[in-house]
Amino acid sequence: MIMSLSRVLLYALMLIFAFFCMLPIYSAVNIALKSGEELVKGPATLVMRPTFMSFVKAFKLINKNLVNSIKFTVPATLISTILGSMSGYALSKIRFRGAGVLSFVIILALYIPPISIMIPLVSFMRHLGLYNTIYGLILTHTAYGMPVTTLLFRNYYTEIPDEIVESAEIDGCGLFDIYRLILLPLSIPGFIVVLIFQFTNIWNDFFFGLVLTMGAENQPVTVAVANLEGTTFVARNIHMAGALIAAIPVLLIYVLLTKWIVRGLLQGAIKR
Amino acid sequence: MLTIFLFLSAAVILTGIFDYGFSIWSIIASFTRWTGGEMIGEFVGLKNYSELIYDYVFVKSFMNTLILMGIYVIATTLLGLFLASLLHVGLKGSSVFKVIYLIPLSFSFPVSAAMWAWMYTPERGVINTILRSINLDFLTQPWTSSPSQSLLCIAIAYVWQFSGFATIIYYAGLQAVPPELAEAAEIDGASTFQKYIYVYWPLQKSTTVSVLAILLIYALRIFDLPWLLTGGGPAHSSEVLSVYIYRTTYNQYAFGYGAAIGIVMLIIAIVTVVPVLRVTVTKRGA
Amino acid sequence: MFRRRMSRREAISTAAKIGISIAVAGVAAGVGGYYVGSLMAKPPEKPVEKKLAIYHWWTAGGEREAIDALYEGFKEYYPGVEIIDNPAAGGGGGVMRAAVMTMLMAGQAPDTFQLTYGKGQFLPWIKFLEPIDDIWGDYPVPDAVKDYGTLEDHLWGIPINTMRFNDLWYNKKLVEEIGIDVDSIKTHDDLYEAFDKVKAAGYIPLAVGVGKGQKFWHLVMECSTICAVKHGGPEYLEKLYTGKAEPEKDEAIREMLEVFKTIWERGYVNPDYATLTWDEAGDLLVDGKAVFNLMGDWQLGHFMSVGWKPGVDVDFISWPGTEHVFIQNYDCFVLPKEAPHKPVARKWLEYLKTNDAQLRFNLLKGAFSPRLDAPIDKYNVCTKKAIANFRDPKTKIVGCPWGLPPAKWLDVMPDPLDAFVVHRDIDKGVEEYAAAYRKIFPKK
Repeated sequence: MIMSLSRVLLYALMLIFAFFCMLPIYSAVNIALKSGEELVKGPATLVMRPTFMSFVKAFKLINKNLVNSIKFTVPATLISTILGSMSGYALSKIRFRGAGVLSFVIILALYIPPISIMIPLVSFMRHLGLYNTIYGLILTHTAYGMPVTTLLFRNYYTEIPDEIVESAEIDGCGLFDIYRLILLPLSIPGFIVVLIFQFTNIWNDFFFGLVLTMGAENQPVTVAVANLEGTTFVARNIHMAGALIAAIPVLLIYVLLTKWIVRGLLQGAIKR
Repeated sequence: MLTIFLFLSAAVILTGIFDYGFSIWSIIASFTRWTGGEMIGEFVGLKNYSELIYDYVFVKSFMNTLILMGIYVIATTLLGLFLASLLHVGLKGSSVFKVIYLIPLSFSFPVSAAMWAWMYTPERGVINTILRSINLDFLTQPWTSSPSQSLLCIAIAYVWQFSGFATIIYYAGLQAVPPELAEAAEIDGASTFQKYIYVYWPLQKSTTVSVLAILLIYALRIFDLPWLLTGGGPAHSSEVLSVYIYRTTYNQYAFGYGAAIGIVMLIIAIVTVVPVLRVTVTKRGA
Repeated sequence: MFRRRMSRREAISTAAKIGISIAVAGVAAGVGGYYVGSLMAKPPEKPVEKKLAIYHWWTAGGEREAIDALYEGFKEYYPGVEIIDNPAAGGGGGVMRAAVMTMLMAGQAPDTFQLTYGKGQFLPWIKFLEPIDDIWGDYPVPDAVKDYGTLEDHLWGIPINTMRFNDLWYNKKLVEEIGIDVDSIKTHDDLYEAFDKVKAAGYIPLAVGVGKGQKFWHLVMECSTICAVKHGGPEYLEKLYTGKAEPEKDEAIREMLEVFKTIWERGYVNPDYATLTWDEAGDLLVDGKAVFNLMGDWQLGHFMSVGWKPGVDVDFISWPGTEHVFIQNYDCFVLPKEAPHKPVARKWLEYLKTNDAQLRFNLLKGAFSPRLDAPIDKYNVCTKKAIANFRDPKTKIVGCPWGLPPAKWLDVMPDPLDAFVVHRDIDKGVEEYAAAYRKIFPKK
């Protein structure tokens, strides 16, 4: 099949950016496959005798932490996303005094640098007895995810024409029913985007996980991977192997969720 | 009406406690000269703030933060829209590319810092080594070792990491455009390229607002890559506000001063958030 | 779309909503304020279990094995103890320190944690720590070591591993090949001569790595050089680090900068020094690209981890001018006042003093015990050289930048050095150095 010039151009462009995306990862994979003497040659020289030893060692060291991360990331992602869609809906579709101010206040919270709240956060968790528990981590990540999920959903729902909501009101639907029957089905692409974003943020968080847990087995996988590097002994190959392993769950989520974006959008289109 | 409150309660309560409640500590701290150890330092009023104005590093990191925000936000947004459009055309194999573009997003910052350190190091780094191997030696740059290029290098690294996210948001936005509009344009004789310029892209206004809002917010708080890749150097050329706060708080143990910088950051945020929200709120009212 | 006029019912409910929101905000603020005020609250009393929550930054490779060996030994010394291990790597210990500081200020103290030993490092922490003079007892270490860790007339940590800063490592094969007699390098000029030979042979003379934000490695050359220059010396270094020097006028600073200038100007340093990490600089030696590297003796641990043998592939000489100087660095563990299992922590510190603990640990870590009576036969040939230097009564043992000056030194002082190696203007360098110095030690 002869490809038209524009198709060639499009493929070329997509390939160039794919190359751009993958190039930095080359160094990580390269190092992860190297051992001892080859490591000293630096990141750019291609590995001559690749070995998967680093991956095996890294996996043995971090598999418990992978489970840990899943245990708090999945709930926190789901909860913060759902709660965010609820508050996003309230702030965009329900007319009440102070909606604008409240939006502002909630979204402004995003700008608070995490360092500023670290110490009171740990103290709060201690007093609640949630220090070093999965629930503490879930609560923390949910709370700090609220502003961004609210913002995303608020913007998303603003796009949905008000007429749909109004006609439902006229039909006598209560607020909750509008949310449940009208808005939710239409929000699938929005959910996907927010889920991706939240899962990434929460999974890749480092400092909350470090100060809110105690004991190597309770640390999230990000801390465990960072520890693979070492301070006075640098095990770069094991570190990179661990990092690549830790990125896999996120990648899997992306693959799954991006498939659903298309399906969800098709549904939305049919509804129209 | 109680339902409204129920819907909002989670956001309000959680944000109220975890963000605003805890910030009170920071606000109080910013008025003290505090080097850790005691529960609270001695009250010195506005001294920290007045010192800030004359602090060369603070001003530099402030400017750097703004520049970084500008480059990173604009580049990521444009790249996201561009890549999403490429994917949206729907050539065979697009779904593979879709995943590839998301891969950078799946790495945590310490990891991408390590990867980009290996990309940028001038002698043995990946970029310069590749350039040398294809005889483009003259294109090699000092990258992060140069004060003039370090900030740009960090911006590129962030664009790499987040363009996938912008892509996916725009992709959803593009998909949400009713196909009839595009068909109508086709009937009028528009080429694929023109369809995008005249139909798809103009309809991405609110998506763009989402993307910009999020990127701007995270851009202000950027910490990890400048810290892990260059430590703010060389010569503070890539020092951003969050890095400076971290250094003053944890390396110099000046908690009060660090808190003051944080409060200033918040004030800057208010100034930038207000216009963004004005846009979205007025859009609603249209 | 037009706004409906609100009925009376709606007006009341709107007011109620606003009122409730304000109340909630008020409660939230109040709660936040309460926790600010209650940061001093003690955790509830519990019977002390045999647990040790310990924080450190030895997370990988030989250092991991070393602390695991230490745990093994401790479990024999104090059977039945449960060790809750909290490794936190990165930033030369910076990550762990940030985490522990946060925890301490939030009232959640660990039982013990690692710190670099030295009065300067202890200063920000002592309000959280308990003095351990009684545990120290008659720990048989040189007086210089004891003095180095004494702050406000008390001792705060038990040092367990001795490291020497001023080691100039060299690739033995290359040195032979190029024909350099390393033992004859006694002055900086001798060093430059050797560097010239290296350059002529096509190799990098001095591998330097201050990248990935770890600019503080410049300080290794700083302290070594200051000890070596004419108007400097170890006594001057102590003055400098304790705020008694005047860098605006002192010759020693100028001379130190001259050395930096010569080394960078003549191209003796690898071009990517600003982006390589300390270990990647060491890699340049192993990879056969560079010949010399000035770094503390943990670099030997790194060399060994990539397959080099001490004494065979690599050896060291003192940075020229510092043959009788031992720039000391140790890691130690401390005792937080609020440690939940204090008796266990005390036992831990007691154990750390013993020869058994120190031998187990140091053999795997690549350092050596500070105890003057420690057995030395098991150490490798390079470490034995360092031990000989340490125990030699002629040697002046002096504190390193990591422990003697206030902790801020590590963050503030590398900047003028980092800028200097680029602009190389001595007068400007002195000015910037002095300005940075004054940030730590303001003029009286």
